[in-house]
Amino acid sequence: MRKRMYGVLAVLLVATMFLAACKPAAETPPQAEPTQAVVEQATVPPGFDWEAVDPSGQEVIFWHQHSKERETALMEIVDEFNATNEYGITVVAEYQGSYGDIFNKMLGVLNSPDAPDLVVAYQNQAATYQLSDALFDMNQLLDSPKWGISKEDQADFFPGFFAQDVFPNFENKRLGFPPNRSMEVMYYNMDWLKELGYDAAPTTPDQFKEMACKAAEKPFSKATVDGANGYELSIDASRWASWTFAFGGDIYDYNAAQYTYDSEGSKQAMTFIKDLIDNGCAKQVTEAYGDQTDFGNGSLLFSVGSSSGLPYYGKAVDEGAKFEWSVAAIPHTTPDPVMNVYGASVSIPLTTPERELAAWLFVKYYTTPDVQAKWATVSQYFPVRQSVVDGLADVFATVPGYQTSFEMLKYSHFEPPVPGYDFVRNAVSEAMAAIVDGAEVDATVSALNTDANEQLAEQLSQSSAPPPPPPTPVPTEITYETCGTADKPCVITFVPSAEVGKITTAGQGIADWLAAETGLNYQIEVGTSFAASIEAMGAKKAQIGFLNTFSVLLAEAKYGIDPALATVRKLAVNELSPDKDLEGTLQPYYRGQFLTQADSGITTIADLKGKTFCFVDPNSTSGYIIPNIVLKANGIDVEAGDLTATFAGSHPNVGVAVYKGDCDAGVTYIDIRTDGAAKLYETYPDIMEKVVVFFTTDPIPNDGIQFIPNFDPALRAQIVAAFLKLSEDEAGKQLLKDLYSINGLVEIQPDFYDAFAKTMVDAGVDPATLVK
Amino acid sequence: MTATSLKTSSGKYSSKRRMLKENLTAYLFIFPAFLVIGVFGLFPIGYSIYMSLYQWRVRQGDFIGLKNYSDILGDGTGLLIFLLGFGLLILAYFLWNSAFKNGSMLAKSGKLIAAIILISAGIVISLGWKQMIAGGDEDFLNSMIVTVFYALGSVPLQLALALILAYILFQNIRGKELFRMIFFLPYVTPVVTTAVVFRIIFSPRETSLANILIGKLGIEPLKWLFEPKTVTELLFGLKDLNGLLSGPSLALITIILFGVWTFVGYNTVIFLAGLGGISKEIYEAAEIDGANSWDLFRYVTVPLLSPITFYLFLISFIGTFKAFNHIYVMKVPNAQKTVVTASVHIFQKFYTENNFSAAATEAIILFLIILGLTFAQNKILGERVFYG
Amino acid sequence: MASIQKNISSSYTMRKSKSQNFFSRHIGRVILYLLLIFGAALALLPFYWMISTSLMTLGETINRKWLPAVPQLVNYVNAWKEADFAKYFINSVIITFTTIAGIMTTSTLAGYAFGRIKFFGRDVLFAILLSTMMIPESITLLPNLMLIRGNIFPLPGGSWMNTLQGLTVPFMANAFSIFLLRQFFSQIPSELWDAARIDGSGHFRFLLQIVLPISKAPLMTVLLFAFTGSWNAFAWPLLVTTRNTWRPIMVGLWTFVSEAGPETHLLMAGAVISLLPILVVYFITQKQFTEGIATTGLKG
Repeated sequence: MRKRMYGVLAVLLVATMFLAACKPAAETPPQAEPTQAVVEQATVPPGFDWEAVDPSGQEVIFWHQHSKERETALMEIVDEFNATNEYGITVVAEYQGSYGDIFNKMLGVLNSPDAPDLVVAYQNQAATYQLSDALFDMNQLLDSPKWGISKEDQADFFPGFFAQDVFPNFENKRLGFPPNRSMEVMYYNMDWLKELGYDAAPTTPDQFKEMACKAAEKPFSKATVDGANGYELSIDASRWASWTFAFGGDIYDYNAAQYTYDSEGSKQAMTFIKDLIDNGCAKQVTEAYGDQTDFGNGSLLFSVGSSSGLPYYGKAVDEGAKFEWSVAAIPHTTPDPVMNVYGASVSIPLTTPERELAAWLFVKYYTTPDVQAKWATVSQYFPVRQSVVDGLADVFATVPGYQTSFEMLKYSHFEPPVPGYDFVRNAVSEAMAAIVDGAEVDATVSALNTDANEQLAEQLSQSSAPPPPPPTPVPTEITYETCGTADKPCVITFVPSAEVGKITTAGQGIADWLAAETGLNYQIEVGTSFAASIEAMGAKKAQIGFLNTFSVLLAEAKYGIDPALATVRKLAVNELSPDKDLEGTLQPYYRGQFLTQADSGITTIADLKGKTFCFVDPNSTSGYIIPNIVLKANGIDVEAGDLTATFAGSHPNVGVAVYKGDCDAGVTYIDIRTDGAAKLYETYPDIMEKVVVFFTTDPIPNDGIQFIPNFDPALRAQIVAAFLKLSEDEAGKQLLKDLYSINGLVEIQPDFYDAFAKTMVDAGVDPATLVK
Repeated sequence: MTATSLKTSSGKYSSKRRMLKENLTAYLFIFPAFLVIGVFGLFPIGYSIYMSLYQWRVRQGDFIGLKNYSDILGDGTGLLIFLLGFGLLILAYFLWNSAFKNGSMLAKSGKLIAAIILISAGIVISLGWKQMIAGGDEDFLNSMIVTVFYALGSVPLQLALALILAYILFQNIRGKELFRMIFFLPYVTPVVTTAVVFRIIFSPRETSLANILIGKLGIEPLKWLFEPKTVTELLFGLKDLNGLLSGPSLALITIILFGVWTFVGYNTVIFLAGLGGISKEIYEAAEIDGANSWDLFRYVTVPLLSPITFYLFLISFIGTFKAFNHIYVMKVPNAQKTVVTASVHIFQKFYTENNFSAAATEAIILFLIILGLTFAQNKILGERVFYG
Repeated sequence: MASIQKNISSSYTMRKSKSQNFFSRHIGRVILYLLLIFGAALALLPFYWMISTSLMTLGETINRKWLPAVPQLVNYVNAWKEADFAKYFINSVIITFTTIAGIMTTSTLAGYAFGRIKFFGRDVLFAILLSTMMIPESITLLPNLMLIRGNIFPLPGGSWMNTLQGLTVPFMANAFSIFLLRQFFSQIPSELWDAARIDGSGHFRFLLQIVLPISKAPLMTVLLFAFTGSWNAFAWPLLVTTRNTWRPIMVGLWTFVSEAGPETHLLMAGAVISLLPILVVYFITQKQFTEGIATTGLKG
């Protein structure tokens, strides 16, 4: 018998090999043919008439991972939708296990009749589904007059969240829609901090380290267990991203479509963490949720994790050491915090137009402000719309830290929505663990980055929709733009926003200063118009620009110009400013404010209808252009005569006009009432009581310094460093002041102007019309 | 054996008719099982082979023949050299065996030749392996080594403990029902919960139970699951060993302990069933012949249990070679790749990289290796099984 | 230490000479029990932790206590309610019993054929059978899902997603059980079969009347493992059910492991509840063969 067994196994082995070696169409068993019953109506042709589709009576199967209270709340939302929607659409929400379980199941049913109509998916999961063209592009419906979401409502979404589900790797399709988000925050034990002699949470890594190290030596008096730790690091790719953001770096370069795990920010962040651990101020989390538990029992001062843990941290503290605690931004070296925001969206698998539309209508309902308020209140996730803030009073009151973190949402930044990110996350965890265990930082991050980019390339290698070629060619093959030799000096172009003679003198001074600092040759030119400066850079006649904000937007859109530095000035605030704590600090942005008399009865933008309104002048950014967008977004069309507009000519004039009641309301920069140059308070001592602010605009980025695209990175770094040094130097400061009254310079991220650009685009304003 | 039983009763029917009837009965008996297994057991294998011949990442791509295989195993020369080494190994085994059977003069020279062939087999195997690593998927090939460590660490320990335990629990012991249940508990408890407890016991904290215990023996606290260093490095400070020579990491050993702890109960239950099948009369007869406890164990229990031991050995071997759950739940990033066994690697290829074809290819390679090794074991061990 | 060892060895020699020293025999026993208790403690440690955690308040788990101050039996009530065990319990029972019935039938028949009948192609088929155990589950899930959905060939009754047959049929036969029974059946003395043949019995009658009654131990073992496997199954049931209709209890248990922080005390209470049926089955099956089969007439 054994002998036969031997022969049999050999035969089987050979047979299997044979099967493996042959061309499968003929040799594999016929049932192996994997052709699946693909749903007939997969993709609609371009130009498809969505207005004519009737979603009546459709059933929408919705796969989600919510359990317990969240599931109950979701069920209520679904029931409400089913009862009220006018098309008789029925949504059936079905729990399908964890995110991972859903993902595994989806892989088995992609493009098949068993696929749901709506599914919870992280961005990278959606990207993976799209590798087999399985998802519906919601852009088709987003702007539809009949089914879509109005521009005003779109503007109500937090811009970052809204943009997060648009996939650059897939022709900018919108493969998901956000119903909620979470953010990585730092949890801290306030009582312990006080015992250690501090009265506030740390805002910089240095402070963080000092406090953490002190805590490790001086345990918390109320702790219910032995031991004391400053920080417990949970090994996770999102922690890596959060700390990298906090050190001013990023893990992905969207222009080059490459991971940048070897960026300076990552290196600094990892060195910082390694240093904390080596000095005994931090430890690694070794059990699931160990940091949450230790925070609760008072043996851990700081913890970094998702804001979705807020209720659980709250419970842990209440049941544990019972102390005062809160959350704050992760300590950062950047001027503003950069917060890592993430969250699963909902995606619509391809089915029939009717079902796709029905699913979309539920998504639309799910993200209406009322539903969002309800969902946020129960789930304690963050809502995705700004107007929901009014509905959040309950959560603000009951969940400590929720409001604080909600207000930090404006600083959001994201992990990349690319396929294969799950694999990269594993690699990141291993690299992070290796660093904690003593591996050398530089070598580890560069090996990690190579792995990550190889994986990305492999992921996209079989994509049916090949990624659009990145705007810049692959870095290794690039010949960079250079300048600075005697033959080819670096040309700096200045926009003519002041007297040309003055600009020329100051500009030449700056060029000379830079030449002495860098040893390069410079040449200056003042544009005959704003557009001329932009065109000079577009034609590569000038490599460096001093463009104003709108010119930057236009040049970015038109030529991919690379903003490197922004000017800063002292931030002024009013009573409604969300960034009051930054008052007086140098910031690369400012805001506008809407003013009215205290007893005018005007409390919202909408109240302005039919009133007299003072703008500054038609060219003023904060005094006309931005307010105009705000008005439009709130349904007030100035050109159509929804209000009586007058131009007061200057910011102080507007302040006075409102004070005197010549205008019912007006708009100025912040804060004309207390401005030390205008000194209105001297003439009108009661201006603060009489004139009140009822609306503050989003930040308006300042002007700055830009490079042409594809500029040699080493050269760029050298020149940027020289500019920064110039802004610290006494003589340099004077030159900048003379030039455009600049107080200082800071280095900025390439996406510095993006949010603002999006606001403009959403409002239908073309920056070209604003560039003189 | 069954063959004898058939012979004794021949003559009643014509042997041909009887053969036919026996065959028909047997096919009828195995039909229901093969209906299910043919569909749900064999189809996935066929389908994996099919997937392994394509580029296949979520969506089926182009037919690429054996490229997936060469991506993993190198261009084939490495594999050939490697297999040649194995051929030599088998040759050495046969020589060694036949040397025993022959006279004393031949035996010595036979052994010598076998030893020489054995050494050269080792050299050839390592040469082939190096070539494969150079041209193939290093991560997967290394995961095979981890798998071998896991299997070699788990199977003997697990079976030996289970046999001893079953033997003791089969004696006339007070409260044996309770003990039997206690030892069975680890196997049936959901892994989610036991993993949590094991992680606490083997936590790298100085105050963890495992570290307190070794502290009593005067050993410095260890990092257990979080320790990617190999035992050879930890014990002897040997740093530059790699591959099979370096031995498993401490993290892997901790996971092996977890696996053994879990599966001892499973093996014990089956051994107990086996012991229950040995009739008391045999023991009584042996005792009358003057056998002591050890004799009884060695010359009665062990041979009569051999079909069960053989079964458990094969099952455990196959099980450890594709072990997944117990490793996956205990895997922490700090252990790096030292605990990534072949099936964990396959899982990651499939579900985190979504490279279906590479995962299928690796699965088929693993399948062939298990098949080959099972066959070898069947050859070597099967001969020692005593079916009564 | 040395004296103890001497005692053990002497206890065996005593036994051999059949004039056992009562005292030293007892020492050997004591050591045996000590070893057993030590091993049992090792096996029980996680259960001690599991049960004590399941009786704690949330606060006690956070403060890393080892014992609850006041046992919180209410956790069991809450776990039962929150995981909707009542709804899933009956599903689990039906799924498990259907699967077991299938496994017992297929593996008894096939195990008998492989162990006791010599037929053409037996070894090839057995090798093929074994080979189905050799492919990792992570690879088989997807093709099997396609089968269940009726993608490969039409199934009776259309797609088997969300059906009892989808949850049970794929598990109604497995190589482990067949292999195990084959090992036991092939050990049955051939004299028994010869005697039955002379009485005019065929294979089926022999199997039913002689083989099964004397194979309680292996049959109960197969049953026990079939029960455990089916009861604890999680991945497949979640994959092939999209609605609650047929979801088993393990899916309910899973909802405790939530995204932001598990409620460990409830998770453990749920785990204890889900464990109880297995222990009951363990008791029932083990009772059947604890004493061995010495007196069931093997003398033939």
